[in-house]
Amino acid sequence: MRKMKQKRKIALLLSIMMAVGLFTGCGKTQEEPKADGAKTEQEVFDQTEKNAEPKEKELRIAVSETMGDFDASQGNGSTILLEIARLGETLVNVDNNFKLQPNLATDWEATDELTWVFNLRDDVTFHDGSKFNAEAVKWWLEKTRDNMPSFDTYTHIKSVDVLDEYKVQFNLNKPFSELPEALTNQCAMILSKTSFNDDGTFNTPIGTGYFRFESFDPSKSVLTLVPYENYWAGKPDSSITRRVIRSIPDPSTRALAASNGEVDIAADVPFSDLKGLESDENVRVEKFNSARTYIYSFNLDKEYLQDLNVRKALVYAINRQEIVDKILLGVGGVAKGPMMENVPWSNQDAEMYDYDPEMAKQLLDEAGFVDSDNDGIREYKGQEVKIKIITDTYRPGNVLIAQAVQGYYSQIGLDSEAQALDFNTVKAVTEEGDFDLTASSIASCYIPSASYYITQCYYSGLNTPKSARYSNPELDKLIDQCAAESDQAKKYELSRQAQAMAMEDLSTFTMALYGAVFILNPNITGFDYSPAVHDFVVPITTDIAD
Amino acid sequence: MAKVIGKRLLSIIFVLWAVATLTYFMVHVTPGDTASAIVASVYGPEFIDENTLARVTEKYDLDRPIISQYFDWLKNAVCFNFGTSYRYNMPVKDIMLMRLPNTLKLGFTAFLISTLIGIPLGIWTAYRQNRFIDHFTRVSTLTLSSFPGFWVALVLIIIFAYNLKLFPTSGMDTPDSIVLPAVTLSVGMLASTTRLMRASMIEVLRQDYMLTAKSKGIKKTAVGFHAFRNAIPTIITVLGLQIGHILGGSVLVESVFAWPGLGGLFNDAVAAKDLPLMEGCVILVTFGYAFANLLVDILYAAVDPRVKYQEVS
Amino acid sequence: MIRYIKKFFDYLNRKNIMLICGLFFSLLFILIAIFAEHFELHNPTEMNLANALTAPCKTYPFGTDQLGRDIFSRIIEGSRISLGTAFAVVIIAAAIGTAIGAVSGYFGGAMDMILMRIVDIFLAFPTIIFVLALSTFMRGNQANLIIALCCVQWVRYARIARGEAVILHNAEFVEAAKGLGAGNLTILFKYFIPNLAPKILITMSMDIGGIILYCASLSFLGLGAQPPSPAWGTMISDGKGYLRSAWWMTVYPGLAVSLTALSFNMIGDGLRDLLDPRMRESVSTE
Repeated sequence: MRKMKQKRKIALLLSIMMAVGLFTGCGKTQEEPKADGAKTEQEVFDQTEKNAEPKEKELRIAVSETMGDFDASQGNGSTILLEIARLGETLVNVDNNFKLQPNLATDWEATDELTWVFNLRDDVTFHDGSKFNAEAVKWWLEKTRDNMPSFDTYTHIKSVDVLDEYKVQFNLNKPFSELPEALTNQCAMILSKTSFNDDGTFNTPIGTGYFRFESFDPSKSVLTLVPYENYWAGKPDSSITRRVIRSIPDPSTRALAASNGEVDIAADVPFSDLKGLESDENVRVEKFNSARTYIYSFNLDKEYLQDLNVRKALVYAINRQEIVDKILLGVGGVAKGPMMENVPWSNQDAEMYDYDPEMAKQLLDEAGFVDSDNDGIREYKGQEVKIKIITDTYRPGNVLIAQAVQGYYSQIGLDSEAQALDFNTVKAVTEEGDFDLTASSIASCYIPSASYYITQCYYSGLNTPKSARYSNPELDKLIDQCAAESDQAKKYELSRQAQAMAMEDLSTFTMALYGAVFILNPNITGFDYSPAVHDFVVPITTDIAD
Repeated sequence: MAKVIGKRLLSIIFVLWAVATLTYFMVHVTPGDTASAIVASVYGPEFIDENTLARVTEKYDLDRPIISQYFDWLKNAVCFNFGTSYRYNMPVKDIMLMRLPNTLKLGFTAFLISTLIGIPLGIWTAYRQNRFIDHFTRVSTLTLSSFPGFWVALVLIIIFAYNLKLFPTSGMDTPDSIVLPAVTLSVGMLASTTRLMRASMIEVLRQDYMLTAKSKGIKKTAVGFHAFRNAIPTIITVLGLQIGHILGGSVLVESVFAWPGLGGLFNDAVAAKDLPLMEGCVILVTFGYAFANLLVDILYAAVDPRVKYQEVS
Repeated sequence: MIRYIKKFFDYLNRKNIMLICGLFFSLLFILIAIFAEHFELHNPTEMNLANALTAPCKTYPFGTDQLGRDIFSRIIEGSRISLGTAFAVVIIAAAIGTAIGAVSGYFGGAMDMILMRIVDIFLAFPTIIFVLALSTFMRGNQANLIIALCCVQWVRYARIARGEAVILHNAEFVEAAKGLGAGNLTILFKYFIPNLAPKILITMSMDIGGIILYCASLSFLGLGAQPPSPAWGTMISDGKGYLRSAWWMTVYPGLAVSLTALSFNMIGDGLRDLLDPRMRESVSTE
């Protein structure tokens, strides 16, 4: 009996040892993974000096993106670094009115079809004290070109030449008249070469912005930044001594963190949560329209959808005002043109086919969509048709809107179904063609140029949720002209013409403007929303009143 | 006995390999291919276009035949190196190790709650067999275990976070934020803990030596103590049964409460199609599950004098 | 008369009231699901944005959702999806599992070895994890959800059937029957199925409650039936965004899941008693 017990004990010990051995044994033989781990960031970046000022003032911001590392040359965390952390900057800025402004570059010009020359500021230093110059721009952008797959899609940069200390030349893959616009994008944010370790792994982001990196805690996903004393544009009028950015992916949690006073700014809060929050005294709710839009595209391979009147009917049937009021609960807006009205090249006079169910019914009748077997549902030339709307689940509004659209279609006697699919499936279904309408959303000014949106949505040969098999050679010509035009007024006019033409063809229509909601600490001052940026900018002047 | 354990370990290794392989092929042979999954989780689904896809395919070396990719992956996976997460751009292992302690903390707390309530309840109802309290407990624990965990979570949030404002809705910033997720997770375990404890108590009380002890007039507390000692194996059994519940339940509970553990991580990875992270999570969970079960079996044999360790088929 | 009623209740008390209640309510829910359209107050999929997010009232006893659809009617309609799926999963899983287990156990050998290793693999990870991993390459619809759940559930039946088959394979009376010239089919129908059927049926009835919960969890996570079909889990998931302003969107569908699962779980619990009657016998403790 005793022996048995002992045996048992030995066995127990043995098994525990084995368990431990399995873990540690592997640890030893294994090389440290080479990924640009955030682990080293903490170890290396110990140059945290405490501010001499006794009063610390933190601005805490909650964002939805997850933060892992900040290798912006691969696009990681670049939106956060550029817009929210204000750590990095771009050569060119875009202001709230979608106009370009010089930033790290003072001026620029196209020297021929394939080259652009940019003059740089000569008074800028990176956070580690090193000089910002043509060499730095060349190094970083060429690194980004190699690392980030989508970089040349947007900039078409082939190589960068250093003309002198503060003058660079960009050589392009193909004629591209909108390079300055493209360089406002976060993929063209300039960080220092010293952001990388000697062995080529990423260390910490070192930029030129007002805030510099202090620490990043990957387990809590918290990024901390402090002001950079030698900021080239001088100290802004703000008493903030530290900016703390927390990643809170769950939208309701973000909203709650703000109403509990755990953060001062929470972005992208679900519209469904607003009702309760607006009566909350601890927070201020601010709503803005953004340049992002919810858009719908018709599958022009379907026989009945090739009939323009059917497409018109399917748009007339939808009460877009009601969608904004009741589904989006006022977060967002009714589009009066393909894009929001603040966009200077948006065509606000384009035909938008406002809600008119009677017109929709009449058009359907004329097109041969009639209820021939008296079951209350229309058939197309005697055949049963089910309008299939597919949407991705990426933006919460899409699924709800798709269901509402389905409701409107049943009100005019059409059978329909809405399918919420993940983006991979949406992509597959779009390619297969088994759908009638796709719902998606587009950042209409991702590149703030007059030709960006029309190229993404109307150009021939595209087969994406934004443009399902639409082709109009005349429109293509217009888009090409618009992209090549360098005179601004003409360029805008060409874009407007293209939008009008596309709305007549009605291959794609704008369902609603995407709204941005912020839950703010009521004492926040100097916060302003710009629809022209990708996500949202927290200006360096943002402050908290005492 | 060592031989039996060795056999079990071998079978665990086999199962792990099979699970890893199954997961790998399940995840990589998808309708939308790996490249678009990467683009979507790194840059967002809007940026899936041909040029970017081609660049990604080249960058991540996705052109190779899947079999050779699989063998490379397997080689690394043997040493818990599951590659780099697309979304976090950090080694999968590091992310998982960062999250693992939180899941353990949550699981352990939940287990503790269900044990602290379930064990005494089981003992009490065994003594009061077929009385009102017995029936009542039985019906109410059964009811509790019929509640879907994620719904309990939401209802607790409505009541305790929004209306009474007693606990935070989510995250793990304050020590009391563990209360709601742990209670949610323990609700599902309470019924089986109580039932098992009750059954084993009844078994013990029925034993001759207990009847003798009682007839000899030994104090009730002493009898109770004796009975409780016999409950230890039951607790271990319960632990074994609950590991699966904790691991599976944590996916939903952690998602609802934004608890930064493995379950939530796995769910996020699935949603974002972060394939390396998903595979890593599945394997870690399987490993934990299999290994914990083995330990429980061994522990069981070590503690209960009546049970000789043997493989249960 | 009163004596008889009292006797009846005594009988119920003694004879497993749990099982009877469970059977009663389960039957009720099944009937509701079958005759759903007679209980629905409104069209469960018809939207009415003017009435969106109405709190429970006379017209809408459980309130309306974000599209103004009647939650009560949607819950009734949803019981079809929920119960339909649960029964489909149990029946398919039991059929496949039993077949595999029986073949494996009866013929033994290498095939048995391989099949049982496969069973080990499927038992190695928690259901939710497995189904979520499966979902990465399946499109979200109800059929796929059923397939995914069957992939997990068949294992239990395979084990039971195998156990029974192994016993039968070695049983003397089977040897005798074989000696008398009975073929495999005869043995299957005469000995195997009658022995196995009760066990499988009992396991099936114990499983249904759990499967209803799994279905709800998975549709909560976005798998399974797609909008506008009113799967309970999807409804709860819709309500998640409105916890602050419209609690009824979350609470009522959840109650439906719980009550249905509870009534089936009661059957399972009662059956467990029936199988292990000792647990209900009284033991003197005083």
